[in-house]
Parts: sequence; C-alpha cells; structure tokens
Amino acid sequence: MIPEIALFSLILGTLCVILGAAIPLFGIATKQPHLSRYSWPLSYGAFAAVTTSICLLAYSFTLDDFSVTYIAQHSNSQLPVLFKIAAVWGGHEGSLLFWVFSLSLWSAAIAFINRHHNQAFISRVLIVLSLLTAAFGLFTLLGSNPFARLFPVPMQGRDLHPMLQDVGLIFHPPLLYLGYVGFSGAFAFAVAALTMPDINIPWPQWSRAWTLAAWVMLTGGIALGSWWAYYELGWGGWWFWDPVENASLLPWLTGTALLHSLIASEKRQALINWSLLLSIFTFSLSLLGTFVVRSGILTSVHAFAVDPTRGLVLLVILAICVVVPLTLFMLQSGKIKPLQLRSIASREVLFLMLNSLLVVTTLSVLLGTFYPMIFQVFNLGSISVGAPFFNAIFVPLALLCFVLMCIAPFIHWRKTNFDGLNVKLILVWIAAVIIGSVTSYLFNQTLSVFVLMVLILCAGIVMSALFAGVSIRHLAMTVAHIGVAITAVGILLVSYNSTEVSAKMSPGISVVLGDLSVTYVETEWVVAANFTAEQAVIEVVNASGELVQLKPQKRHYPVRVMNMSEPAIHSTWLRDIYITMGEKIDSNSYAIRIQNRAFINWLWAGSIMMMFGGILAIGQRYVK
Amino acid sequence: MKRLSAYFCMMAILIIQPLSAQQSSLSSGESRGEPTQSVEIFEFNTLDKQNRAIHLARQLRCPQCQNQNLMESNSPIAKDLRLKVYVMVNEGKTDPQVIDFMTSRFGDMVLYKPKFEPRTYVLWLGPLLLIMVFGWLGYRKVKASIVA
Amino acid sequence: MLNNKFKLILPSLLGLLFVAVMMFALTSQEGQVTPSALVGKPIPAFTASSLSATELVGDNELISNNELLGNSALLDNSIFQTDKNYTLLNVWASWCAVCQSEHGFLMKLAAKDNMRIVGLNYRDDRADANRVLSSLGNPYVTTIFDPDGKIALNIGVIATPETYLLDNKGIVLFRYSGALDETVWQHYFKPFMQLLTDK
Repeated sequence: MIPEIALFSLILGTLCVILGAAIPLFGIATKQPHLSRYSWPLSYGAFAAVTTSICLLAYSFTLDDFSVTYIAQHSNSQLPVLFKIAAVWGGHEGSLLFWVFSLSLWSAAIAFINRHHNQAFISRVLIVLSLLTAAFGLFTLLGSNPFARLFPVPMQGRDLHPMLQDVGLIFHPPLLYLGYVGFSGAFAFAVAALTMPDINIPWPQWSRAWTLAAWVMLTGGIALGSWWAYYELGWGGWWFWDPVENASLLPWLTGTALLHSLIASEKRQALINWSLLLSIFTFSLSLLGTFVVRSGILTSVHAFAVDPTRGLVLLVILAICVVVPLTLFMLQSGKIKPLQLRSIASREVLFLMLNSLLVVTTLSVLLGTFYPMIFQVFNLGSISVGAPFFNAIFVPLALLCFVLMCIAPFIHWRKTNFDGLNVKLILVWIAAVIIGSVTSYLFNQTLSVFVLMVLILCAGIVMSALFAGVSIRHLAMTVAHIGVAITAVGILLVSYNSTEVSAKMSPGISVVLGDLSVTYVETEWVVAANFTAEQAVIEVVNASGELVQLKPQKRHYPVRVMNMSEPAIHSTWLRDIYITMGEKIDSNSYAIRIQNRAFINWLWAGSIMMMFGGILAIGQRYVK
Repeated sequence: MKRLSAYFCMMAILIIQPLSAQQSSLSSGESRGEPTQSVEIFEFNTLDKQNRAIHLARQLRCPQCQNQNLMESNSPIAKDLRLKVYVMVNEGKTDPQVIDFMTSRFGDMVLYKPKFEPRTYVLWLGPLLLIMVFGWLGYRKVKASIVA
Repeated sequence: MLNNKFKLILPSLLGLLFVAVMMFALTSQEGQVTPSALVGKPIPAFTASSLSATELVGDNELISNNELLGNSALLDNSIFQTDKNYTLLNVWASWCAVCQSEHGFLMKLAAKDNMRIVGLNYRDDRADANRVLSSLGNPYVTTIFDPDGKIALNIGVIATPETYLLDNKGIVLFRYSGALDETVWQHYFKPFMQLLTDK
C-alpha cells in the first residue's frame, strides 16, 4: 500500500511541475502576466509531493518491504537502520528519485526566498526549473520506477553492497546530488535572463547566493567521497582520476569560475557573457556527469549497474539543456552591455584570467576523460588515460591559479591604486618565503625544490588573504582562500612525504617504519550484525613513547559472499597511521601493510574551510 | 572452489558490478601458489627500488579490472603483474623495460600514461593550445575594452 | 546576415553532432572484444609439462618431438606448428564455472567441426583438472599445464575462459575473452576462417 501512495505522490509532484511550467508559459504566450503567479504554489506543491514520495520509500526500507524490487535488491533485514535509509540512494532508481527531490527542493527554496523580487523574471526562472523537474520526474516514472513490485516476494533482500555500508555513504551521494542539482538554479537564472526583453536586469546578484550554496554542497560531496575512498578502500589513496570522479570535478571547476564571475557581474556589470555561459555549462556538466555514470559509456569503478537506454534519455535532456540556452545566447548576445575596463591592472582582468584558467583545466580534464572513448569510436586502438596525464596537466594549471590568488587582494576593481602597494607586496612576499622555507625544512624530508616552491606559494596565498583583512567584507574570501592553501599543502605533502612498509606479521613480531615501532599483538574474532571478521590487534609506538592500538579487520559478508579488508587508522594533524590486513599467509600470520600518510588531514580540514568560506559568503549578503 | 569461480572468471564483455571485481580476495587457507602471497610481503634490496617499483605499479593498469592500477587491485592478475614489476625492478631493470614488457603482452591500454605519439598529440598538446588560444583571445578582448 | 543565421544554428548542429557521437559510442560498445597485443605475432616460446602423459589423445597428428619424463610429457611452441589450417588455444581451469559452461561447445568443435584445440590449464591443481576432463570429456589434443600462470602472463591472458585463434604457424589471429558458444563462434571466429580458405 505504502509504495503505491509514494508512487501516486510522485505522479502528483510531476503533474504539479508540468502545470508549473505550462500555465505560466501559456500566460506569457497569451499575454496574461497574472498567470505567472501560479509558479509559486505549484513549486511548493511539487516539493511537498516529491518529499512525501521519497520519505515513504525510506519508510518502506525500514519496514523491510521486499515486495518492492528496488528494496529487495539493495537491502536486507539484518542491515542496520541507518544503512537501510541510506540505501534509498544506493542504486539507480532511488538516486534518480533523489534527483527529482533535489530539483523540487531547490525550486521551492528559490521560489520562497525570491518571492519579493521581480515577479516576471522569477516566474521564468521557476518555469525553467519546473521543466527540468518534469523531465526527470517523467524519466523516473517511466523508466526507473523505484516502486516497481516484485513477485514472488523474496524472504530476504540481496543486501546493500558492503562497500556502501558506511557512514560516508550516508552523506556523500546526497551532498553530491544536491550540489549537482543546485547548479540548476544558476542555470535557470541565466536562461530566464536570456528570455527577458531587457537582459540587463540584475540577475547575477540573485543567482550568486544559489550558486554559492550549490558550490558548497558540491565541495562537500566531493571531499566526502574522497575521504570515504581514503578510509574505506584500503590503500590510502584519495583521488584516482576515475571518469566518474572527473565528472564531479568538472562542474566544480566551472562552478568555481562562475562563483567569481558572478561577483564581477554583480559589482561591475563585467564578465556577463562569462557568467551566462558558465551558468549554462556548469549545470550541463552536472548532467554530463550523471549521463557518464549511468550509461556505462566510460569504464569506471563507480558506475552503477549500467544501461545504455537510460543513458540515451539523459543524453537527450543534456543536449536540450545545451542547445536551447546557447541558441538563446546567440540571439541575445548583441543586447548585453559590453565590457568596459579602466585599466589592465584591475580585478576584472584578474577574474577573466582565472575564468580562462579554470575553463582550460575543465576542457583538459574533459579531453583526457573522453579520449579513450574517442579512440574507440574512430577505431584508433586501445588506450588508457590516467593519473600521470591528469596530474601533469592539472598541477601546473592549479599553480597558475595560486599565483593569481596571491595577487588578487592587491588588485582593485576598475583600477589599482598603486600607492604604498609596493611596500605591502614586498612585506607579504618576504613573509611567504620565510614561512614556506621554514615549513619545508621542518616537514619535508625529500629536499625537493618543487615542494619548497609550492609551500612558498601556499604561504603566499595565506599571507595575501590575511592582508586583505579579516573584516566582515573580506572574511569569506580570506577563509575560503586559506582553505585552498591548506588543502594544497595537504595534497603536496601526502604525495611527497608518505612512507610505507609491508611485512609478514604474527603475534609478537615487530616492524619499524620511520619513527614508528609497530607490533602485532594478537588476532581476534569479531561477529557483527551482517558480517564476521578476523581482527588484528596492533600496537604502534612513536618516537616520544606514545602508544596507540589499531584493529584492522578482514570482513566476510555472508549474504553477498564478499570479503572486504577494513583498514585501521589513527589520525593526527601531522599524519595518519594507516594499517591494513592482507593475505593470510599461514595459520597465524598475515601480510600487514603499514602506511604513514603524511598531512592527509590537512586535505579534509582545508575542504571544510573552503565550504565554510562559501557559507560565509552567502551570509555576508544579509549582514550588509 | 565454486565460489572462487565467481571472482576469477570475469567476462570482459559482461556488465558486472564493478566493485565486486576489485574486492576479489581468496577465502583464507586457499593457496594459489607462491606469487599472490609473496607480492604482499615482497622485500626489496633498497628503499629506492621499492619506491620506484610502487610508483611504476601505480602507472600500470590492471588489464582485467574496471579502471584500477596494479597497486589498487587485488585481483589475481593484478597481483601477478605487480609481483612481476617488483621482481623486475629489484633485478635492476629500467622503467622503460618494465613498461615494454607489459605493453607487448597486454597492449597500450595497460599504460596509464599515454605514449607521446601522433595519435596522442591532441591529448598532450591540447591543453597547451587551449591556454594559448584563451590567452590570445583574452588579451585582445581586454585591449578592446579599455575605456580610459 | 548569413553569419548571424549560422551563429544561431551552430549550437544545434554541435548538439546534434555530440549526441550522434555519444550514441554511436554507446551502441558500439556492446560486443566489444579486447584485442590481444599478440595479434600478428607468434605465441611466445615456452616449455611446460602437459597435464598428464596418459591424456595423449590417440590422434596421429600429434606433437612429434615430445619426451616422456617419468609421468609428464614436455611441451613447447612446436605444438602450434600444424598441417591443419588453424589451432585454437583455450585457457581454462577447473575452478572456473564459466569455463565449464563452454565445455560442451568445445567438445562439439573438436568432434564435429574437427577443430584442433590445445588447452592451457591456468593456475590449477593437476588432479582437479584431470578430474574435470575425465568427467566432462577432453576436447583438447593436449593441455599445457601452467600452475603459476607464467605462460599465460607471457601470452597476455586477462581472464578465464579465453580462446585464441592461431594459424598453422602458431601466429595469433584473434583472441576472445569469454565463453564460446555458437553465436560467438559464427560472429567472430568464422569470418577469420573464411578469410584463409579464400586465399
């Protein structure tokens, strides 16, 4: 019964958005502007209906209703309740429903927050969002119905994939989807602006808050995914340049460019073309990412159970979302106020350079990700494009962005006032060099010039950001940029300073790794709700004599018949001690892999700072 | 025994749950011969060789898996190849020699760093070209927009 | 004028192109076969023992230079030099369930179509492998015993089951990863065989 109510709710929601697009459009066509009022109640109604639908699905999961195919495929009565709820988005159908839910959520939020602004314009924004929600709603209902029934009803479900049974899973997909979908807001604002008779309405300032919110969510989603991969997969890696990961990075890169471009558009009416195009392409890249994951067009460890026909629908939606806005853009580009600069040494130009760098990075990653597919289409043979290529391209471009970040606080809008600037600049750079060198000396063992350079650059970013001031006006930028610098330092040092050792260990055996002394104490047996495990008790003593105990496991999941190695991690600011159990070598010894992952937690801390900076930027608008 | 077949008989064409392909580990006590065990406790002559071997193994793709390098994957073939890399590096072979060994048996797809050859010019030179194009266009635009 | 109209249609054209390329990529991916790096080259030199001396199928056209060492027969590359037009090299193991699903088809190939099939027993236990052959039948003229997978590594085997089509000099013509059945045989292997007989 409940799944049927949920299905009905979804149908109702889809109906609401179809009407939410049709009625106002009809109003525009027949010159009855009062019909645009209907956008609001229909958006709220759709949100209520879709939320009901997804909540009922979650409820059905907790009831172990295995008569629903989706629940039978992704759940199990032994599964802890929290994971049953998380399983809602653990498979294709449920995650698509989550997309619809996210779209309706953002639409309702935009409708509510902007209800007092230019009604004719906001109504058009809501029309665009309604069309998107309708497209996905119909796709879910007709092609990926999470409420399809199963007969005969199985006694037990197939269980959630063990790798997904983790705290990280509970939050990573929702955050990611909210981020992806959030950019539909910026997209809608841009497209709506392109349809307005007067294109020079102040849409950038309204769009900016939503873009920031989406960016914060996407940053969180990506960081969480990295963190999850780090502690779950067992080899301490956090980014693999896998096609699906790249698919999430692409909208993040253009989203970052958009974020900055909107500032210029709002403050100086500059870079409007960039803001429009970036808005269109960021959401399109989100759609591309979804397409890549679900169609199986690219080989990836992340791909859902893939189905080319699903890919086709997403492809069509993507094509429409690119072609229509771009055509509108071509039509309207003459009406956009042209860029007016006073001097080359102005922040507008700096943002232009940043936009260019970020877009080049995006295109390069896109090229590398799709290159093997292009080879295959043109029968050029087989090729793999992986980390070595992407690192070679990404790192120099990122460093160039960092240089811009160091200069940014000193360059003013319109025209830089150079009085007294030289002194300040020199002071900041001396401070940066000193801090960079000291840090390098203290923390970096490899004596690499590259490491020294990057550390100085990061110190430069921090010093410049602090120089801009910690006043309310600049706090957001300061925090976010420092966050970037911290993340960069973390990435740099974890690559250069990490060490590891693998050894055959049994009770009593000790191994040395740098300043750590690692001893295997004993093996324990663990029985949990849906798995059993062999657990190694390992003690690690560092140079100061402090002792910590780590317990890595080799888990066996009986329902899906899978074995997983669960690492044990001890975290401090300077490093993670990361231990995994490998093969069982004989009756009481295992291959144990001990890693010293240096500065890895700076990565996560920096990401959180970036998110915090974004949140501050949203809040900043209301403090003024 | 039959359980193992589910892990080892991967059909390259069948669409499978990719994650299960990675975590294919043997039930304990099942000995498949020396190589798969000793790769986890392999001892190198020097630390430098260990670092070089691991670095190299990271650049090589597991031919059977859904996009994992030799260090990331625990499938039997990844372990075999990883051990081969370790052994070759420990013997003193150079990186090009190891890479050549792998590509002559498994093709270019096993290299994560594409070779620089005519069919990959677009890939390697593309970004450079893009930067120049954007830079030139941006410069022109800025100059044209200066209203003093 | 024309320039403006063109600018207007440009996005749609690009969009169409994009969709076309993606659709083509999607559809062409079904039925992909990973090509072997050895196509056009001979099977690398090896020496190995056969699975069992007693399993020399009573066929005249056998391995001419094989020496009986105790219980095992020694095999090397020369087993691929043959009077027949083709040899199939089939990689299998007793622990591989999918291999057993193609076993019946291999038996038919060996018996009815008179195909010469050499087996490569991959990372297996001798007794287990022989047991499979005695219970399900032996389609192979001989089987190479490769318990450590070293020979398979040199050939570039990536999965089981796998079947290589070799010509009469032992040069690799084609490699198929997966179980053989009639459809696969007709679709992939037959075209090669037509080619040679047409020469």
